[in-house]
Amino acid sequence: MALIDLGKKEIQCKIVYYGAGRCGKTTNLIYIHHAMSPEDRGNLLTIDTKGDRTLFFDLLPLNLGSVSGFDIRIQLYTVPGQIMYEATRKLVLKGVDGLVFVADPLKVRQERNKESLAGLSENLLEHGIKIEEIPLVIQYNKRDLVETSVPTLTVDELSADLNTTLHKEEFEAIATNGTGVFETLREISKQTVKQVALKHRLLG
Amino acid sequence: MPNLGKTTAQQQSNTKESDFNDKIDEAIDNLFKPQRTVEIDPVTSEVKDTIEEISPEPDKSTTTSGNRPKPQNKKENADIPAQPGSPDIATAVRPQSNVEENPKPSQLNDLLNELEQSFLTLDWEVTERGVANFRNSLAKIKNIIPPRHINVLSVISLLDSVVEKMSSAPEKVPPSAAKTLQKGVVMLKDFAIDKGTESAAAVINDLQELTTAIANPGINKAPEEEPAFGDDLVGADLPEVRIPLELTNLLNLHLTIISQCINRILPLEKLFGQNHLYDKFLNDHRNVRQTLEEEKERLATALNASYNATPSDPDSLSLPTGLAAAIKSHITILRECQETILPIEQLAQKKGANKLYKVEREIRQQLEQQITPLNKALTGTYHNTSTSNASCDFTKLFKTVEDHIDGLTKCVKQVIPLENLFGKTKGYEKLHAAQKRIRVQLEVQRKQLSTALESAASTPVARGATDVRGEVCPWSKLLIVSWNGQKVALLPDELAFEDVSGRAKKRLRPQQNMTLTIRKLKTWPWSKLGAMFSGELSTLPKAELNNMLLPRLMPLMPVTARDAAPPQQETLIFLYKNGRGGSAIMDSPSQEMTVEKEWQWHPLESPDGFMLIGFLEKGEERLPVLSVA
Repeated sequence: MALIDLGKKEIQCKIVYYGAGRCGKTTNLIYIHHAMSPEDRGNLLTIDTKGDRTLFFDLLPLNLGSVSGFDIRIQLYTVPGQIMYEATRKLVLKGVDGLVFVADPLKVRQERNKESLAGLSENLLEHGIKIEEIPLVIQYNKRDLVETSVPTLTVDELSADLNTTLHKEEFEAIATNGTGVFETLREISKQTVKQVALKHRLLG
Repeated sequence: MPNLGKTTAQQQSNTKESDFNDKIDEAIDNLFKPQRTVEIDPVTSEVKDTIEEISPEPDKSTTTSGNRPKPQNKKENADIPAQPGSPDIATAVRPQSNVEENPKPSQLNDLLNELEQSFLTLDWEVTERGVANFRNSLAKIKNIIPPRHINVLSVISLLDSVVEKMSSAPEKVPPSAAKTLQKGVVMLKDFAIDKGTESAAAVINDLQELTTAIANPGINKAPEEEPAFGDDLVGADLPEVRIPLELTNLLNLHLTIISQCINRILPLEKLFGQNHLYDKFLNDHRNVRQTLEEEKERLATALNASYNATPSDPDSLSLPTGLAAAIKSHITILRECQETILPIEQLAQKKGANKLYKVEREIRQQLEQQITPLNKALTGTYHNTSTSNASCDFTKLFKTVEDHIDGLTKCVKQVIPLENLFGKTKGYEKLHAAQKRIRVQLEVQRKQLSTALESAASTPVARGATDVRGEVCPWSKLLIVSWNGQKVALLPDELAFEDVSGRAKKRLRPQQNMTLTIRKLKTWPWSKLGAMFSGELSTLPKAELNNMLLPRLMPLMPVTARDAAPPQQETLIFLYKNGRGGSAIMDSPSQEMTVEKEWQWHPLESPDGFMLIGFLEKGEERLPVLSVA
């Protein structure tokens, strides 16, 4: 749930990048952090081990400034994708306002993507949220691998696997060079802020 | 006209919403866009600038619905560094720091910072990895604290114990746990900056209460209830099993080897990443590295976790369940690695890359050779070769490592010709460098393993198989007790207290506390503690005794099913010598034994912690000798 301080007219939204291990969630945040102007974003906080993968989460605060008298801040989180960190994923999802599901195109990860999305749905339900109702966009990452000999899934295949019932916005991306990263971020940010404003009747 | 009024209000609201949405869209479109383009290395996550600044024109695609951006190809090879950073071999082979009597302040501060960082991570959530890091930091600090700071060492032991229990039963962790842990960390930091250890007693009490609360959430509700005899042997709180030291060392070595393998693969990954032709190789190597990383994590967790004794074959001490599972899992991973390498091998063969084909095939075969001995080591039990449980047969394990060293030697021999070949051929400089690195890594591994094997083989446990003659026993008399079903010898001058009545046990509750506050032995406030003890402990000043905490000593070996029967007469003892001590509950009172000439003394060259200092042997009989000094 977004943190709203009506006295200060402050809205803080929480967007979580979710997905299977190694799909590129942290890379998305690293890219955003490095590519954005330092005035508009805070420090990227990564709680992990030396050189290892995300152990708990990454957190990147973004400042949207004042809109209609509200000071809007967005916090981007990731979850650890590895199977063993189920408890952490649940915890990070607490109070989530928007989600980016990052999918890995590698054929060998096809099942992991599906499992991860199913896990997301279950974890959200534990927080009383239906996956269909929360702002969510799907990012098909690592599209650069399509042009290589590595067996990958097409966007249609990925969409059939992950988005047949959800019908959410989809983005192709190459997080390592930034393709699709900001498009994804902008869309989820818009959806999330609008939903938060609507949900809390902030516009009177 | 109320309807009209409502409609106007609705219209106003809709306009407001639409206006807000437009503003949001505008703000997000204006702000959430890249100011510069960067490229992230997929392997190392290193960020490199590709273009200095982006012109402030609007973004290529504003949004969204079905508007999929066309993927761009990655920057060409020019942006990728020619040579990957070579693994720091010097760091990899650096020996572990030895115990120092006087820790350097900077060293202690660094370690405390590391500890605090681990604590903050744990404060967020308790995970096995977090616990392992925290405990590793504690172990490092413990190694450099001089033994005279018994309170500080007690805090460290308690912190370790608390975190260990938090890991095994996170659902029992009370919300106050983080705060209590923090107090411990702060106390250690105070100690580091010479602020003293006044707060130690309070911290220790808090930590003890926390340990009890985690071990038995109901204990605080009914503190007057004394646990029934033997309660700590059955049910959820089974006694801890200590992994045999030699086995731990070998597994630690294995962990190091996995790390080195990962370091070896990383440069290859970068190398293959420079050309799209090698995408498949890149992907396969990446998968191998990922699986190795997962395996490393699992093995590290298994090594750092504690194990509970489970009833087992009375004549054997099999591996703890968790550890066995970790090794099984490692075998599975090795098989997966083999399966991953097989297609590369076949591809190399088809494309006529004979040398590459040969190397990949050799690697696969080497993996196969590792799997077999691991399987054997896993299925083999560490059985008793004599009357003492301590004398485990590690011959098979030593043989396994010896074979592994041979395997590594063969690998080195295979790599050398390739290295030379690539070295002589122009255009293959990078491949030459990669092969060279592999060879060096293998040689480092081989050296490390050889050193470890020599060291392990020199211990009495290992020597047991080769019947090395021992020395004359330095003591004429020893005290014999049964501890966790195992007969052990204690040094008479170290026995400071022995209570067979059970009164002391009731007062101190040694089953629940990792540290005993010995002043609780006082029947009356004016009782003199010194008079209750013998030896060095009886000579200590009253104030010191009043503040003294004795850690609980852990038995050498786990309770097996055969030994799990209730002991005859449970006896609480304190051992104390040269400022170091501990408490333990023995199965029976101590009995004096005159050491006959036939007993031969086999001291441990590097004693295990501060307990097992060696073995006495007479024929088939072997008696572990313990000392706290």
